[in-house]
Order: sequence, then structure tokens, then C-alpha cells
Amino acid sequence: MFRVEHNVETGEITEIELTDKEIKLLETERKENEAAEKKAVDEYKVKAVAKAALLAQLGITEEQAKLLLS
Amino acid sequence: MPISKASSNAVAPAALGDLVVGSATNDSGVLAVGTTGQVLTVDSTQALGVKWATPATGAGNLSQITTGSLSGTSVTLSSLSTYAELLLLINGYTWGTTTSSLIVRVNNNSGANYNQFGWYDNAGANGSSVKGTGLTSFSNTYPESNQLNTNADGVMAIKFTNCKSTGFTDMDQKSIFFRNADSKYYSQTYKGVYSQSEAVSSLVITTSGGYTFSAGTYTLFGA
Repeated sequence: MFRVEHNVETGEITEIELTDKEIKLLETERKENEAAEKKAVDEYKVKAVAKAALLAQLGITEEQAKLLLS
Repeated sequence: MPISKASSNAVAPAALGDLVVGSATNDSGVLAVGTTGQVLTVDSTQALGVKWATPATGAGNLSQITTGSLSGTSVTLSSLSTYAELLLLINGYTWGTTTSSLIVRVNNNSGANYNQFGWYDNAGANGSSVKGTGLTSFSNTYPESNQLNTNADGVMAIKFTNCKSTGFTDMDQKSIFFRNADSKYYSQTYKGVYSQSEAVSSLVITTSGGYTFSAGTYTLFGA
């Protein structure tokens, strides 16, 4: 794995190999990102299910609900 | 009443536009005319205390500094300390692994120094104001869903002002558009501040998680 440094003054573009410490840090960040993504998707799914149940209970479609709230 | 050379101790101008300037009590000298566009500027190091100088480039006079392709886990644009304003355009960015968000950091600082207020829109629905203080980057994070890594239609434009100052840097405008895993389109616009008392010397483009970029371009403008 590498990162890129672009010196805009000289135009020089350098590929720099990540150190072991940087790779470990990235692994931690990736785990955190994936956990946050999973949480967001789960919350979205729970909300979508609750929304569908409420619409069914009211006997109206999503478009009709939007019309009511507009 | 016109003052003639004979009636004062003033020295005589020699050319069109020359100025007679006081250099001490009851004494004066000639400041030769400057060049077109220059303005008169006070400067105590000059013998006459003033000089002609070219005004600093003002806001809005941006010119392209550089452009390039995204690759690796991050791209650092360095040697930016001469610019007071910076506009970074990032386009068509994708990365190799999973849903995440595009990130821009100042001076590679990942501390809680990024603050933004703005508005987001979910494919024309669920639009809302959104604020974030103490964030660790300026990103395209959406409250409910982020960009699918393979969707190459994302764009981000982010402008910084007050970059040379040792005070806080203004994130003058950030506009983002991207598509999530459900192919829903999201747009966001923000204003904010990077709350560190330091000049901007570099900008880092990466993703939350530091995934390796597989496509995308960046163009940087400055003044």
C-alpha cells in the first residue's frame, strides 16, 4: 500500500510506501468505518420497516402520505 | 493658492506623475511615478515613507495550480503556503473496497477541528439542515447512507479562504453530489471552519478507512 504526495510547487509526484504503523492505523480506521456503515444501514432498514408498517396500518401508499404532508 | 518652487523649499518633479513628498519637517523629496496598476503604499523603510507597490491579488482571481489522478490510499497536495484562497475539485472518485465517504483534511490534521453547517438532500426527499462540530475531517458523510465505492459519478468542490493567516481557515463552500448503494442520489452544501490557528500548507484527499483509490481526478485552483 502506498500514499501519494504531489508537491504543487515543483510538480513532483511521489508514491510513498506506508509504514507498518500507518497500515495498522488504516486497519483500525477501516474497522471503524465498516462498523459505522453497518450501523447506518441497520438503522435505515429498521426505519423502512417501521414506515411500511405504519403505512399499512393507515391504509395509504407512500405517495399518498407524501401528499398529505406536502 | 498655487505654490511655486520659488515660494517653497519643495524639490521639483521631473516627470508626469511624480509626487513631491515630505521627508522631514520643512523638507521634501520626489517620489518618481510608479507603473500602471500600482498603488501608493505607506512603508516606513523608504526614505520618503511611501512607495508605489503592486496590490496583492484579491479574492476571485483564482488560477489553476495543478491537476492529477487519485491513486494510493491518499493524495497529499503540498507546498500550498503561498496561497490565500484554494479551490479543490474532485471528480469521478471510486475506491476498491466498500461503502465509505470521501474526506479532505487540512495539514493532515485528524483532530476534532472541522466544523460545518449546511443542508442535504436525498433524491429530492428528506432534505434537512445538518451541522457538525468537532469533526475529524471535511467529508461527504451523509447522515443515513454513504457513497458506494464503485459509483463513479461523485463530485466534490471545496473552497478555503483565509489560508495564509495564522488564524482559523474558512471552509467557504463545500458542495457534494454522490450516489449510494441503493442508487439514490444525494447532494449536500456546507459552510464551515477549520479551527486551528495555522496557515494551510497541505490538503489531503482520502476516504474514511483509507481505501485505495481506483479512479478519480483532482484539480486545484489558488490565489
